[in-house]
Amino acid sequence: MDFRLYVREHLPSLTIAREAEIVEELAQHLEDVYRDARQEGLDHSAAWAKAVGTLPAAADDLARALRSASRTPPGRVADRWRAALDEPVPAREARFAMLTDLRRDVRYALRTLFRAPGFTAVIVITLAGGIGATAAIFSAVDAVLLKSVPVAEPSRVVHVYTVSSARATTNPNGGPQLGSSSYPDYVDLRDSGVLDGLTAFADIRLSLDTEGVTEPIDGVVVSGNYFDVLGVRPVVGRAFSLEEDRAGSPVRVAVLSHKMWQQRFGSDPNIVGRSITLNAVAYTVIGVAPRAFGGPVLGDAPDAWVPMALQDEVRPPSAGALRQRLGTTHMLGFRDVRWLEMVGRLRDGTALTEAAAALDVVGRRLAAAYPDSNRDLSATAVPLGQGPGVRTETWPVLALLTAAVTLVLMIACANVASLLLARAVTRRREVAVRQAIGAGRGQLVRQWLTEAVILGVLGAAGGLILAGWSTPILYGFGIPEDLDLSINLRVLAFALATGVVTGLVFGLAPVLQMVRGDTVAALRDEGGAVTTGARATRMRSAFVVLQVALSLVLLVAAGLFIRTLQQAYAVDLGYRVDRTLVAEIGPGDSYSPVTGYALYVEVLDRLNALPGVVAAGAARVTVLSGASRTVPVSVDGQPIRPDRSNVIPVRANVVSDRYLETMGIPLLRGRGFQASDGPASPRVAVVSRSLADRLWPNADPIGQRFLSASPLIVVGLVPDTVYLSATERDPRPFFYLPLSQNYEYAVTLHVRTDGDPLAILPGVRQVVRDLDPRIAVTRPRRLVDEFNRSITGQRTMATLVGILSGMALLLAAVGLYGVMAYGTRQRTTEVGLRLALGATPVSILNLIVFRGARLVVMGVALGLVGAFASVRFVRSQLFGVEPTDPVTWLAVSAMLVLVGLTACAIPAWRAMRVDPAVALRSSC
Amino acid sequence: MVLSVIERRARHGYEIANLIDEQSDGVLRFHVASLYPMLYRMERRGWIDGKWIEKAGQRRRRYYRLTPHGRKALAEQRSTWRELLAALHRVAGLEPGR
Repeated sequence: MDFRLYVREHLPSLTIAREAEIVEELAQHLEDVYRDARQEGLDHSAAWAKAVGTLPAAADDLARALRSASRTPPGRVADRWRAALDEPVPAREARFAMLTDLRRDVRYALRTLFRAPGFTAVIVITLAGGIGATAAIFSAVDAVLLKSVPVAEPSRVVHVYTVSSARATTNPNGGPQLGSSSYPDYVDLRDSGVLDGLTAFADIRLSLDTEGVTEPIDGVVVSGNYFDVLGVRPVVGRAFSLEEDRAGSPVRVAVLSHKMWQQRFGSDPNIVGRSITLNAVAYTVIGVAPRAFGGPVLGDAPDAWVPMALQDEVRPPSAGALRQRLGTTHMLGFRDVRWLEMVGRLRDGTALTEAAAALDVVGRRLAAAYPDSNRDLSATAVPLGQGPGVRTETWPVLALLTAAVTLVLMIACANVASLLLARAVTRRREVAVRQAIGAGRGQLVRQWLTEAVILGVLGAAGGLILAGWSTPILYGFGIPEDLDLSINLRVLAFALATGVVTGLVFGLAPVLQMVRGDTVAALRDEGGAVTTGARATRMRSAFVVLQVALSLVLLVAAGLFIRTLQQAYAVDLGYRVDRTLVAEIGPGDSYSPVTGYALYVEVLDRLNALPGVVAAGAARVTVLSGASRTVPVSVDGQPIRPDRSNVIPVRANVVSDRYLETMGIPLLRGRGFQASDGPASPRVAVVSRSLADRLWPNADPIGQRFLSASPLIVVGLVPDTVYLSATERDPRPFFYLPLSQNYEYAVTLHVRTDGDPLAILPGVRQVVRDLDPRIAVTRPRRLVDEFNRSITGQRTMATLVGILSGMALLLAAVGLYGVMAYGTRQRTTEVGLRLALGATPVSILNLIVFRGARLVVMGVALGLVGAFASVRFVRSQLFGVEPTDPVTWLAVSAMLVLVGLTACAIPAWRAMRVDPAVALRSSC
Repeated sequence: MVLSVIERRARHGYEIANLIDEQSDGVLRFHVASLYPMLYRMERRGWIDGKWIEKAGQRRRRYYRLTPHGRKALAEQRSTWRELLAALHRVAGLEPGR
């Protein structure tokens, strides 16, 4: 007798692997009962009845009991957990136990995460994006703001500035106007004994001759105590001695930068004592600075240092203005020629404020002693790097970017929290079971936070890789390329800390959710959504609103920066930058002003004769290059007063006669410069419209005289043109001086061509080489490159904030989609019911999209408020566009709503096509 | 109870049910509905070990054997029961049986 068929028919399907065995065993049991019954004398039907009677009538209960008894997790895991929990932990082993717990938590977390690789990958990628962006910006913040300049005891090193009480109000930043110092003032301040040491220095352009070719290098002229005050020891050779910096008897010695030593002299170990040619004069190399050392000013990286006493020979740029005014280039004797930066070392135990007060006393004494030059002037000290410089200039940009990446990171966190919440709902059973068998809430919380922190750390690892790739972009923001932005230990620590903290933050959401959950309800509820699900959805909806709001803030910023860039491109420069080649030549000291000028004239004549050249001219300052020359101009025709109360700052440029033509700048009135404007004839100038309006509001400027460094006669009038950069905030008036009357030791050639400007470069080089093979044509580039470079900041800002806001938008859209898709799936039954009861698919679409649209609109509203509150922080970075630009705001809001609705529409579309029959059956 | 029945040798489900039936003089009777789920549960716990064994002329049957783990559990349960019974006896004032 075989009961297998009977058992199989009467037992509900068990859907477990052992089903066949169980059926066989039960059938065997029934068979045994039957056989014994027969042996006891029952007939077949009675024995059959007895046998099948052993199977309970309610076979369902049996099936359920068999099923649950045969399934692994509840029984087995419960035992193991209970065993683990019951194990007593001796007090002195508590710490060890904690470690064991941690290891167990980590192992369990890793197992959980790897069991859902897709889920884990999405979270890690999301976090890597957020943390990567943050780490990249932090590396810049670290390099610019946190790292100290490589000098001994940087906390004792201070910048010393001249301060003017009279001009205190002219500083746009509100603080006192910090300025350079003159050499006599420097000597008095140094010898006052307020500081442990005070050094002065100024940037210079040197020309280095190697193998017959002259090239410009960056140099610094420094007082003899420079390296001693900074506490920097050369790695090879020695620093300057005070004897080498004695005015009147200078010794031509130089200290090279490490980079220069490596690149130009192949790290020659015998460099000390070697002779090099600077400005056509032989110098002896006495030492090489340490690798990281570029001076006390962050971001500076000069190639060589020379003693201050050589100032007359090396001529700082400001020497040109002095020569125009006083006919000499020897600046050390003038108390009113302020061209030096000063850095000093505080005495041990002296506070900065005490030193500043003492310097003020000395400064006021000097003002009293030399009223002609020092009226209303004094001296003060500020911590290194807090004066004008890279730190101050890049700080607002970095602050802005930090805010932007923080927003992206927050959005990423919200997304991850949302994902974890969604999964927490599906893990309710696991939690409930573990709670039921005695796992404490603390234990569960710890377990989940461990998972979140592991995700955070994985995200940080990915983020560091991203940051490594993306940091080079940051050099576009005016961060000097000599600053090292590579990932160092601090950045590493920062990224890891960010990962852990974000892990804790987004890990908390599902944990809060969980600990409030109801164990019994969760255990009972196997499938659908009950309270916990609904609460999680509400929390996720809140995250979506937050994400949309944060994205909007970023998008508004990005929109404003893109508009700024548009405006910068649209600026009317007043001249043409296309098809123009610029390159520098510096005849150097082997030429006198007379022979030098003759050389320039010959070069320009030959260039103008080249085929393909439309016009060629020369200028001291290349527009848009960042270089500028500002001179004082007397507004009342009276001599410039010592306190400079009757002057305005005016930009100037020294140009050759065909410069205006080359640049395409039209003459409004009068004439341009001519060959007849020689050294002997009256000194002439061509002025800009705004300068003419300022000096002679109601008169014809032609023929007027005005006073700058020397008296000038106006011969021509030109329109205002952009000088420093396309996004300059307050374009200053300016004037041109003729090269024929104002010799320059180096000029920039401007060559306008009828084709590709770089194609003419070999011709330019040939012309110069033919005239003097020692003169190098340096830094050749297209003028349009200078223009592009001048708006690099705006371009990079627009690009970077654009990328960040794109990330934000994507994350917000994904977050919204996730919530909508999840919510819609939860409501499948409801949708099926509605459809079955006669709702049209379109009404379903509306129902669901409406829910999503509500979230988007709430987010946009919140975002608009947030953006409105925060745009004032970007004002300083904008150009030609108001922070409240309605076009930007409308476009951004519309775009966000559109993207949001698309993210809702996809799940809604799916819901619309639900088959009511399927939906209803699946829920039964 | 089930454990003690298979303490000496391996038995199959029907045998176990019959033995308990006999030894308790019919007071305790296991039904299929409770016997097999219990066996499977004990097997999961590692107390007993089930094996299909084929004997000549019969269909194969599943025999259950006590594992060392199960032996320990049995000893524990025995002492628990003994204590419980002793307590019951004391409370009820009965003489220790048997």
